[in-house]
Amino acid sequence: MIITIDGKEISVNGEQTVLEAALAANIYIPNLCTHPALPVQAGCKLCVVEIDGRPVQACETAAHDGMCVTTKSDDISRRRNVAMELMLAGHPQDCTSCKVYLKCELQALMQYMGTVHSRLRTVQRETNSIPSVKNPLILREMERCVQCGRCVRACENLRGVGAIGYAKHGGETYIGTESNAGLAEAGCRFCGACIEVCPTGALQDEEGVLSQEIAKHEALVPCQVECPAKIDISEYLRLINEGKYSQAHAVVREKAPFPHTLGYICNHRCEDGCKRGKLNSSISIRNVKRYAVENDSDMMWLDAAMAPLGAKSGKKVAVIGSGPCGLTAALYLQKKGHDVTVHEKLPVAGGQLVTGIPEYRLPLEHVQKEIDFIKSVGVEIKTNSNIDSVTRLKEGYDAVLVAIGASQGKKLSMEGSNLEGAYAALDLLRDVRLGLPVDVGQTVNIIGGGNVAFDCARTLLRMGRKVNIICLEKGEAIPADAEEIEEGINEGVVLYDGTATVQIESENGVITGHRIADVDDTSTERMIPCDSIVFAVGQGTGLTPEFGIDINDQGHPTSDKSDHTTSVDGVFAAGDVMTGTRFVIEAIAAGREVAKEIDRYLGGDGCIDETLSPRAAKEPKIGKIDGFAEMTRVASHVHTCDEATREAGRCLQCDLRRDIGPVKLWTEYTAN
Amino acid sequence: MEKLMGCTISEVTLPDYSEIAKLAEGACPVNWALRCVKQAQLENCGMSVMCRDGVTQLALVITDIVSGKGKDDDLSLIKELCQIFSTTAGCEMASKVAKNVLYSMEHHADEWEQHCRRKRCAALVCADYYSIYIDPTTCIGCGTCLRLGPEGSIAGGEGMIHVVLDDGKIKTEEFVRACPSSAIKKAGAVKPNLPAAPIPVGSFEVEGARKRRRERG
Repeated sequence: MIITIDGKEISVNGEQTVLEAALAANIYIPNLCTHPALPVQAGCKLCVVEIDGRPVQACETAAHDGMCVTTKSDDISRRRNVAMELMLAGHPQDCTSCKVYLKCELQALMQYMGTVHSRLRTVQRETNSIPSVKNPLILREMERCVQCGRCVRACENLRGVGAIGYAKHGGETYIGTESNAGLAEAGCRFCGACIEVCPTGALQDEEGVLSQEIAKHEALVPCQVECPAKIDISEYLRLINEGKYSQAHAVVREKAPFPHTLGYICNHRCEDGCKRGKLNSSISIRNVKRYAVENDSDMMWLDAAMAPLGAKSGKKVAVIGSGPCGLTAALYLQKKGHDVTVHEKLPVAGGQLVTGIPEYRLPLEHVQKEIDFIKSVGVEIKTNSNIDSVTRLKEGYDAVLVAIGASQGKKLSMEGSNLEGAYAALDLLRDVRLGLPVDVGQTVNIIGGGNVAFDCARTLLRMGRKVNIICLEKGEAIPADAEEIEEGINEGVVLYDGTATVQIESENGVITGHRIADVDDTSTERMIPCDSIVFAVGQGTGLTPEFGIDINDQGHPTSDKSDHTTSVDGVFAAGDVMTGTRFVIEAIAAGREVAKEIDRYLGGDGCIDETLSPRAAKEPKIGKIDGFAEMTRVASHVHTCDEATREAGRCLQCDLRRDIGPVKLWTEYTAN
Repeated sequence: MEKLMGCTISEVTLPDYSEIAKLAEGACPVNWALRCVKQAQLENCGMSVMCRDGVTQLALVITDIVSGKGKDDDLSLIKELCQIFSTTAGCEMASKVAKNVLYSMEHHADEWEQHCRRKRCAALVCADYYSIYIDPTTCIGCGTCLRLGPEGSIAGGEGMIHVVLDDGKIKTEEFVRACPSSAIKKAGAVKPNLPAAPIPVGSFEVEGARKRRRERG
């Protein structure tokens, strides 16, 4: 059907209101309380238009065929201005001190209409400071509220929560909760929909909750912002809450081919970002992920994950190193149609996953299964294949990726560090994992305070040895995770923190003891008898100039570009070899990035995005859950389906806010 | 506080503007309008701008008009607002109250002018525009008002003519009606001659006082 707006004929679908029809035809009619995601309230009266000479609200008037609408007249302007002036009478006049200055719909409307704070009486509402308690996550500056009711409809109609509503105190109307309770008590689920739809600065995210440095659409979901691989965490938590473990597993796999491994050892930066952490405690994301992977009985993702992402290119790629970075890159390059061969110098594939991280933290069989999947896609892994010159290797391949990690254990250069019985931690961990004989005697002193030191110590304890850790840092400054330290000490590690090594004692080439002293007091020098010393003092790449690419003083490959290229065309480098020791999830993320670059180098489009769990439209109505804000984090591991459901159900579902989307401002309408 | 769900106009009995024609002798049409506005302010659902902010604005402006703070263009402002409110769809409470105010303004334009510009209320209803006094020629010194009035508002004693010290808290119809001799009265812009402090009943002479003042002047 056709309606006429200001003399211009536009076609309209049968369902639209006059306002919707006008906006769809790119004709702007000012409006404030209306929002595309919310039911109509017709409260702000700004969208007044004339139909048959009578003023009506465009937002609540259904379009009829042949309708004739006037959007501009003196009477209309007068009405709109009065409505605007009335709303502004209770609104602060100083826009520049507001955090949403220049990002404010109300301000944009003032500009459009030319309305100023006016001839009307200023209204000071007594109810602005209700409730007097401070709410977590949501900053309410109610003196900026113009009571358009969008937040109320977002909470009530869109989310089905209904924590807030119009309230009355004497003659004042305000937006409040039942009995003026705090939001948590009122049943708020802290989804942030109210903030998203607020056209003023009245509702904002508490400072520091969302990053200001990245695009807002991204920043809305802080767990995903923190995840180096950008896994769709909210989505898989929702699936876990619904008991759909295979789909949840698939969502993780879209960005990382080691879900089970990550479920054990990821350093879960997502949990640091988790907004729920500012409400009570973050979701135990890693543990519910592991539960989902372990309870994925039908592997619904398998066919999709095996499917190629491009036609065969006929190009050959060599990857040096079979750690998480190398294998991730190998998988995606293979799927992009290239023939990938991975060269691993050790007899087993997996890099630090199998030779650095002890079995008690990450069972070998789980890693093995995930590597088997990568092989099943077609990646060839050559073990016992030591590459000492990339120049020679390059001859047989179109591109080479150096992903050798930083697996060269360092020792302090001091007398005794080359004796038999003086080990680099990584060598020791590797030998234990490979089942090689290790001769460390009964008592082992470990120098260093990082996670590797504790991995070593706890591995040796499990072998029945006595272990002392000597580290320079004291108390909270110890670099290892607090959890590692606590568990290590509980298991029997003797920790000498704040102490430095003075000398390694030996007799006839055999280590007999370890002379140490407090860092801040050399008079405390003392001897601890031991049979061997383990250096857990950092790792290097082991690269030398003979390898064939330029390296810096620290042994990292150099390039004049910021991407993953090296000094040699067609040779790329990624992962720990570039960055120094980092976490597994970062190696995986780097593997994805370098795969894209190499694919583009080989003539591909560099796109490795895939959907292994088809997305349904997200249900915006999350409803009310009694005691939601107080639900506590699962104590340790997730053992049962109920625990998984409950823990995943604690998620605030921050990503639902992305579906609300921004409102188009008048400047974006071009037809009038 | 209770959550509001929508317009309650059907459950609220706002005065009808036809009442303005039947206003009792001594009623103030401005005050009547203000009471309508305040009732609507208390009872509107708050979900539309005219009812919520519009009625609040009317209450503020008319309150100023009845308390000596009216500005020159307030009357035209109220008229403009009310004309818009009364023809805005979906703002039933504001619409009804606006019609009342407009009707009052049309039929009692002079009274509105007096309130706004001359700070006067002919009916002596608007509290800022009258004062309370005790007629010294009628007071019998019975002490009723002294007992009723808050501390500091009335001075007097048995057999003495009572005197109003501060009428801030006694400007109510109940208080005026409380005097058994009907000696409590209201005064507008013209203030009567009164004793400054209680004097014995019967000793107040209107003429004498006038004479003395003339002699002094």
